[in-house]
Amino acid sequence: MQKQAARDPNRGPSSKQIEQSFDKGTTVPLDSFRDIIDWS
Amino acid sequence: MALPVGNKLIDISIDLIEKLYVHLPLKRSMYAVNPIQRLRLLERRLNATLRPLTERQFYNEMLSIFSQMRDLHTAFVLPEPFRSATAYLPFRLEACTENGRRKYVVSELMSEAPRHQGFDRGTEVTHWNGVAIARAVASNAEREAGSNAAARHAQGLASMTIRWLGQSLPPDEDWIDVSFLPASRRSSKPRVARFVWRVFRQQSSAEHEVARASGRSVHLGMDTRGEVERQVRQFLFGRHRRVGPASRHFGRAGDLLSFMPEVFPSCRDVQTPHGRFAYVRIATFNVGDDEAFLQEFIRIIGQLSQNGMILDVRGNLGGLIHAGERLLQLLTPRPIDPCRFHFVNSTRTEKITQRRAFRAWHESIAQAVETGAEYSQGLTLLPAARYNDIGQKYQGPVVLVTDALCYSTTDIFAAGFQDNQIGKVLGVDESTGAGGANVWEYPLICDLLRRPGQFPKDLPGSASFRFAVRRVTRIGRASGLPLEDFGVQPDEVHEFTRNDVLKRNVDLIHHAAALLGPMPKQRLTATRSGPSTFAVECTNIDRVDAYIGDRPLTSINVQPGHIDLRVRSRRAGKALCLQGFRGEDLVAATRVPLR
Repeated sequence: MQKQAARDPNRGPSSKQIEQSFDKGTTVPLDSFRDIIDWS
Repeated sequence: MALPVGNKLIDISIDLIEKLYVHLPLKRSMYAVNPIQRLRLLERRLNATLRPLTERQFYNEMLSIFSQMRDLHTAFVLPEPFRSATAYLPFRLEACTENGRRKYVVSELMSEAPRHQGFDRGTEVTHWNGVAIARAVASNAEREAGSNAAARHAQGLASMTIRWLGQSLPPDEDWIDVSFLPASRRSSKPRVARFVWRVFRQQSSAEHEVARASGRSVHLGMDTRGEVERQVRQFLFGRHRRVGPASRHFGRAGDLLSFMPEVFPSCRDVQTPHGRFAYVRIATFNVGDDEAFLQEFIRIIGQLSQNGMILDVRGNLGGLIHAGERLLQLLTPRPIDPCRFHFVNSTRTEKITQRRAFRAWHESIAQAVETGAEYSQGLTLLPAARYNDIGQKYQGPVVLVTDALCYSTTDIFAAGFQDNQIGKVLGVDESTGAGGANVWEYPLICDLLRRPGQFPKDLPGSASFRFAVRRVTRIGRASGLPLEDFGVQPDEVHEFTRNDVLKRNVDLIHHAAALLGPMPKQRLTATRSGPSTFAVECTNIDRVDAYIGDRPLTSINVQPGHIDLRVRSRRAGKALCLQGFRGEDLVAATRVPLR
């Protein structure tokens, strides 16, 4: 993805690239996310 | 909060809001806000030696300063891990009107949603954490950046159940208690269900962007936050859920398959008591290439009813401005006069417009020293010919369906549709979202300003900014009026019903069909019938004027049926252009290539 963007800075990510970034996504409860950002 | 990071973010914000942000004079006047002074106060608090700001307080204040300008184009984007995260509840709420009262109904549930007896599609939500739902939505709307009242309500409602954390801090509450009336037994006692906020974390990347035409495109017009949420919602709720008119209400025409299903999720004929019409939903203008988008639209409408079209752009948050503006020509026989774009006059825009791509704006900005004008001259983004280089492809009447989520490129498209008198606008809200500008992402601004010391391209944690840099003014009867904050008022408003929410817009489509029914239909086609002759078919047309390119060839009074038109080959140009008139009105046009 980064290589392609470097070749053509005027083109955004393709649908497939966005789908892949979603497919590899994760879901956590909000309180766990607060632990990640370490805000009290 | 690290002082150098905070100070740098504030310095950049002050400079770009003061010298590049095109709506600052409007926002100061309309909402009595002073973001520059608030940023200076934040700087002072940040650098205070006693009780310095925490990271959360700093980001909270930055988000608040930007959202107070009520401009979804102009935003501070939080760094990772926020910008790759979206908080959500496992259902979606929509508003409808019943017996003159606005109600809030569950329209979708995720498959992973915990089961609560009676909580299903069609459930009416009455309270949100003990607060009456209308009050809770209004209160949420005040935190969001929507401009006019309709847009604020739409934004407030959408963010009740989904929030991109790149532009909103995480919800304060870990869960919400929803009071509801069960869908099946609405007279029974209210019940309460608890739902936990969850966070979806997209795989992060240094190139994380949602705009297909790129964050570096100079021609972007989009609500990026809404677009992230739209994409995440589509992923979470299922990409292949049915969104178009239901066959049980509108016949078994079936959806046409588009090569761009995300852009055209539903395109089919609908059979109604008022006639058979085409229905096309354009979910987004967020495309990489306007030419491919236009060709796909032409292919689709060529396969649908030519009696009239319902063009549904509700929820379309914009994208590539050319995609919207160049689409207009396909729907009318008259030449399109596009919107005008203006920079704010400042030292920064004077510098930027010295570049070749923006040079047309330079003279009026340089003159501002003498004229004292606030804005530059208004010019079109593309050369005028590009808005009319294809011509009409759909000759039936068109009804455009809008709502208050329509934003930016979609606002511009709707304004162009109304100002060029293409057809009627039917809105489910009193206005569109009112995003009247061309937006630039921070990396593009860095490239154009070329001052890496003052505007470093890489900000800590991939934080970023976006700014509206060219404001849009309208043409025709609304000539010179701004689109920002005012939006496009529909010619007629449809009160969204419970049936619309639960039966895929059934009442809305019937309403649009009722508008199309009495509108006059016409047809003008030409096909080559010999080396120098063309067979011209006319319906409901009195006169045909023919041109070769721009040069007149002949004018013929016609009866219904067909005529043969002779074109001498030595006069051959690029295309035979025909214009069909009924009385004095130009009602249809077509072009046939001569070679």
